[in-house]
Amino acid sequence: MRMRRRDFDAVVATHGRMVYTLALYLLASQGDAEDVTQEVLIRLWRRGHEVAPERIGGWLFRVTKNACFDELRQRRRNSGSTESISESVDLEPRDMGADPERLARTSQLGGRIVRALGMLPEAQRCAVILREIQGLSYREISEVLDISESNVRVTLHRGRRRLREELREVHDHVAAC
Amino acid sequence: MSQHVDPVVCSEFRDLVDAWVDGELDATEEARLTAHLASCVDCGEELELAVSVASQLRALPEVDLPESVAVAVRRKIRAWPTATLSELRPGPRFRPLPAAVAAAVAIAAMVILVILWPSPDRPQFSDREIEQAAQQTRFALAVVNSATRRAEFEVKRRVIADGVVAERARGFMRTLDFLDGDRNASVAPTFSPSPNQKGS
Repeated sequence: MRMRRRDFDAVVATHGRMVYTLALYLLASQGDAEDVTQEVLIRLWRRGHEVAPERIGGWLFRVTKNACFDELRQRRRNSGSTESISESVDLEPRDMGADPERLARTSQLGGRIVRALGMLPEAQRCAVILREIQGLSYREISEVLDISESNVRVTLHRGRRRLREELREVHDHVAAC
Repeated sequence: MSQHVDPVVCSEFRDLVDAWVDGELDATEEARLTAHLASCVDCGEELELAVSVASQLRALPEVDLPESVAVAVRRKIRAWPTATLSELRPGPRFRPLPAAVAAAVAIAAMVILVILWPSPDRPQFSDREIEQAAQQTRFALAVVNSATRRAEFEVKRRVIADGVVAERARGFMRTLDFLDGDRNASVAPTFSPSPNQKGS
């Protein structure tokens, strides 16, 4: 059995964006993110009918996370270089005012933040993306990462602390301008 | 009257600053951190950095699924069979020999035929051995013949009629065509196995 086509199309329309977003920021590579997203959606087509509709979002996050972590492990084995997302993706920071100077400062910080994200260990990176970019609750993140809520808080704290260390110099420079 | 607060060391402030930025501290803890900020410039800068990093992270966009990915997925799904061979089951009246067993029996029968084909270099077998092998071969071919006729009918009717050709069905149909070409028309499907032979 497979998912019904109209159910599959509805899930892709609702959740395709979040799958691709998580893959993109975790892998920092458009090509790899597209490959992983294809793999996840095909798996949805084959196994999605086994998942309760109200749990399909969490299932997709978990499958995407696992596929990305597999890809990152493969990269470590191959010791290849990764394409920088900030060089290849035209990121438009949300909720920014029309002030060009502010936008310029924001773009500079935005690119550095994405690069700094790529320096975090996988679990910290994933927790930060899920919380800060995709707005998941601690409970939802604990289900995706398969850790307790208290561990989610610790993981997030460590990730954010490391990001602050990476970005301190840029922040101080921008603030002085 | 000012509220008395406990002093907060800087390391504790750095541990709590994220929760403060997330609005998760209670009023007492917030008061403690606020009091600490009044006398610690470094922690004030740490708070400012934490707020800046959090706001930059939250400003990063979600990215739409590229159309190329959606097209590629739709293409692969279109090529996927809507029914697999295991789902094309014959009705309860039939008890089909599993395809893998039928194929194995057919291969065994052909191997036996090749081995028994007369050759001056091959060892000679007794008449009894040859008759036993012939019985086994006739039985195997009879079962395969019966099973393939039934399977062929079902597969052609349901697979082709439904417009679905699974990979395994294609392979199975190639096996059917092969067996059809080599099947001996004089083989009788009503042969009864000897008492020592196990059933399917």
